[in-house]
Amino acid sequence: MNNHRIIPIIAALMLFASCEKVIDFDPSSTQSQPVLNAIPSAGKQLFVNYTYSRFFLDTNNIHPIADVDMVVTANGTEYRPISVEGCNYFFDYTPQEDDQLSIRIQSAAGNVSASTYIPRLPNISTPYTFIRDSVFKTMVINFNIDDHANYNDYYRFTISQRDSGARYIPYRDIYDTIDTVRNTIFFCFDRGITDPTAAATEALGGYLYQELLTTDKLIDGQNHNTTMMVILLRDTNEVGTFLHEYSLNVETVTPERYQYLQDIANATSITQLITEPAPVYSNVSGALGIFAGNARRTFPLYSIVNENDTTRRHK
Amino acid sequence: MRRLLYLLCLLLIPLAAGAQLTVSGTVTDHSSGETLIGATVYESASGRGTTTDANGRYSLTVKGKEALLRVSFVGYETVYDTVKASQGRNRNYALKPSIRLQEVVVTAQRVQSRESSQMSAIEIPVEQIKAVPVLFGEADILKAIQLLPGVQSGNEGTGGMYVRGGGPDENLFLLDGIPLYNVNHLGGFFSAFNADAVKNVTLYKGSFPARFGGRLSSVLDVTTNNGNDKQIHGNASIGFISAKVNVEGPIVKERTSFCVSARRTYADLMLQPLVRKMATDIDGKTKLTAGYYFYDLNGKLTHKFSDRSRLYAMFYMGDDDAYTRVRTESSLSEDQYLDFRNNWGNTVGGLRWNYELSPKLFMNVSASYTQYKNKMVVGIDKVTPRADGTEQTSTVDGNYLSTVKDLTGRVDFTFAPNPNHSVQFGAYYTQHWFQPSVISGSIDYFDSIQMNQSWKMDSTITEDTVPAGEWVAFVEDDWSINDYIKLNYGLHLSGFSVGEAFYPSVQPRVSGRILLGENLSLKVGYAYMTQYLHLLSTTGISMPTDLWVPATERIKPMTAHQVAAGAFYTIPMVVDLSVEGYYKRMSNLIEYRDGATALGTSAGWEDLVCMGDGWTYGVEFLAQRTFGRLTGWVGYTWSRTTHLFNREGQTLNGGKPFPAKYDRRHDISIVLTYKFSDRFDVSATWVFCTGNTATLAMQKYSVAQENPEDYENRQRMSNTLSHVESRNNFRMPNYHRADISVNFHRNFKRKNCHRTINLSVYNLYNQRNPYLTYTSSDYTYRGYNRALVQLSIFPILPSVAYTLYF
Repeated sequence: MNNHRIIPIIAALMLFASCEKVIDFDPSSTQSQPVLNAIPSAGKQLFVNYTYSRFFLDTNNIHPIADVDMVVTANGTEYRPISVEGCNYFFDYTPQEDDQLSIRIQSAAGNVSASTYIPRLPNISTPYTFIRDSVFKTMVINFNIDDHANYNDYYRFTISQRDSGARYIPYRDIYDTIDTVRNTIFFCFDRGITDPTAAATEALGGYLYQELLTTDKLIDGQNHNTTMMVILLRDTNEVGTFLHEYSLNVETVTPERYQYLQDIANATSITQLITEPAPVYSNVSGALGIFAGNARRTFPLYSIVNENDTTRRHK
Repeated sequence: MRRLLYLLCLLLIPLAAGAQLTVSGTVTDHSSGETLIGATVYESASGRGTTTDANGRYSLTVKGKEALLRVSFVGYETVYDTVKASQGRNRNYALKPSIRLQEVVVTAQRVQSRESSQMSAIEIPVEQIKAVPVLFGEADILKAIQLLPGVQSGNEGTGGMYVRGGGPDENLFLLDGIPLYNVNHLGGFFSAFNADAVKNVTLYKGSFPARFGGRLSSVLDVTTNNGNDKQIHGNASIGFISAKVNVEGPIVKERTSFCVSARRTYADLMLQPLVRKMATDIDGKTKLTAGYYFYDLNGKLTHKFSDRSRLYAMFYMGDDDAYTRVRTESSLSEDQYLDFRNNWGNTVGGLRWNYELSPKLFMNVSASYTQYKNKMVVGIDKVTPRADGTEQTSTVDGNYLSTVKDLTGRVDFTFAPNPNHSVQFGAYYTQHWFQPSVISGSIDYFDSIQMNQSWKMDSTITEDTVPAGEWVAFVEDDWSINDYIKLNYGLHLSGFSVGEAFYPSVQPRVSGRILLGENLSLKVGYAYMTQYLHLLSTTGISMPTDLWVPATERIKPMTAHQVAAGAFYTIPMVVDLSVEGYYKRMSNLIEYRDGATALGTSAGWEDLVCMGDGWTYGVEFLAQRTFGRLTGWVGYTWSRTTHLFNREGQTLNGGKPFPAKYDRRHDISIVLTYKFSDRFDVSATWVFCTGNTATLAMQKYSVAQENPEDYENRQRMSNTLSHVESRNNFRMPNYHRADISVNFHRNFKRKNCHRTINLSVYNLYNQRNPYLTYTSSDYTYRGYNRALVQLSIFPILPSVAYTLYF
């Protein structure tokens, strides 16, 4: 190393040298709280997850609550759990649209209660989908929503993507077989449906979502046509025959879950890094979490097969 | 309103009392002609006196036809003068530096006066500021001010000054009477005030005189040098990261003078070899240029038309510039260029005419312009050549600009009708232009094989420029009721018009002093303040990306009531002691809603914020020694600051009170300078403060899942929520640090030339103070561990600076 470089390097090390120190933190300064999570869904067997929250430095996963007396009341009929797996309590009850539900729990963690209903799902036309191959290969999805008149609908739109096949992992130099489902990012250019307060990132003249949360304020009682778009990015690490299956999920949620999902979107967004951590909404008395009804319809979209040259990876 | 005016008229009646002999003039430094601010002109027979104003002028009216005046200023020889009515009304005094006193005094003036009616005001001599050891040996006004009781700094590495529980936007920084919007360089490590260009610094923490307004928590009034009107002088300094030069002198001797100061950091140039090497070490194909620098340029021109008339012209430019340029040649033969540049700073200019209308009445007429801008530019160019000679190119450009501009016209008067009154009154109008953000971007894509695959997109998102007008009228009187009681009272009237909204404000100000003997005085004060500007700050700390926005029809101006009381005691020739308590109640504070951030754009910012209230109270102790070989002060502050956002639809923290970001219970500072000889002095500081508050989610729990098996993946971040029990529920570890500096002075044989070598050590005992905290996770052979980790940025840092005075 040239001598003339030593001085600036020493200067830089002194300027930018950082040091880390673990802060001793007493866990007893904060108390665990019971957490009730349940999303009663139309047509699906009801289950309730009931557990303790955990200290933020705690690496144990499960903190069950013992000796729980749990009762769910649906349209006046009481149900008790028929089985328990871990912290999940299963009921012999399958909710339907417009059902009224409440839950009451007694345990050493205290008394917990909440109530909700199962929202209605509007008529939704089968999506018309096509692939547009321009600068970017995109999938365009077009469908109609027949919104209920004089009924407060809270919508959640997601596009799920199931990936299955083999993928090359460069930094480990291995092939891995995967089969995962995740919500993919999509554009929605429809300002006629989007509640201005809905969380979204504006990009390229459209709005970018991983989930589109919106009310029916702008389309109440209308048969509304909307369009979404997914950019189909080709992953060069996919090997051989790789399958991407896309589905459109349309959900109606309760106002409480709508608020809960909005808070989660805020809490997990990139901007959370520079904002104050914010509390997440709960409609449960005596506990954290959410007890909120849901109705969902899923429409399969395109299944896309990528055929990559596998020999390139063996150089 | 009407009652207040009646009260004011009643109080002003005594002004009509007759006077027999009025003497006025200017007090200057004999060697440089520089006007002296705060020099005392005292009449022995009546025991009454006055001090020179920001222009070095005084006016004293006494009974009788003859007056024996004593003109004094710390560090200068006292002048005695007998003035007779027949001799004329104008008496100028040029004080000579006291050689005898310099041996035993003299780096400091008084900071708190037991005699003044003004309370919560602190004046620090620039010589004292220059003696305070700081990072890299660079004397800094704000860093010295932040060592005073009641004043806090932000985190190390972040800007901001917090006075008596107020936010960083609640301080009015005046440079020769012109507001500066951003006073931080290098994340707050240095201020925009170049100490070499500064003559006088006064901080008002409360009980504001009526001539000041527009901010809730403090006024920092900085006056720059006029320039030596007799001969060329200056100094040049080179330090660890910066170099600076200051030159002053006459253009027309004893009539027109100038003072120019410039400063620039050069760490970016020094570190360039290291930056390039680091980039080369990554893959050998990346060329990186990155750096940061700031510069300041101060200038002032003073012209004396006559003893009664002076014209001042000043300008200031200061910019911070952070830049990164990356050129990458990838293995696929793609060339990629990335440019990022962030530039922010102030541009200020002003003209002021000072004229003596009569020995009792001075006038200032001024016009000024101030601008703050923050600009970011991002550009990415990518070129992908193909074997057949064709290529694919794409260009992405993004620009962000945020500005605020003010144009102000002002006239004010100082009227001293008799020895018991000194009245200041005036008015000004400021036209603001706010442009919180202009965002523009373009994408350009071109493929030379298929000409139809050319695609271009331009987009500009511009918030309309928001004009706003602010007018102010004020009157204040410093009234000596008798030998023991003195009162400063006044009224500050203001109005702010923006869009369809107009906000008037009547702000009474009063502070009083009672002398309880030779060495003891009691003071009380009250001030009502209104602030029409807000700073949208995402993180609660001062950043260049913070946006200045005006009060609007929905977002009301901030207001504050502050009361303070204190006792001031002098142990002659030993130390000055003071204790002061205050209570301040603030309304219409704004904060972002939970989880909201504009992230550099102000679009719809009114929807993202909520308004609330706050209150703060505390006690400040100060022991200060301003003479002798040992000078300095010991300050202690106990305080508590609480915010409450519980208005309908605008709640934070569940509508419950929470501690403010910079709520600190204890704050101690010790600043000492010992002058061993004319050639050698040592300064040391030690600071301790309670850790800042932070919001820490101390519990975690699962996100509600629709399928039972989805709860199995709890380790995935997206499946876990953090539970925030309350805002600012965690307190960072306490902060403490010691700095020391040693100055070696030497006179060269050549006349009027000497040098100073400054050796300083920042963070003497290498304390790891918290900069930020984060959660760290790692997997070891013992399993999965998580810990709360504190990051510290500045270890022990020695530095050296050389200054040549000529």
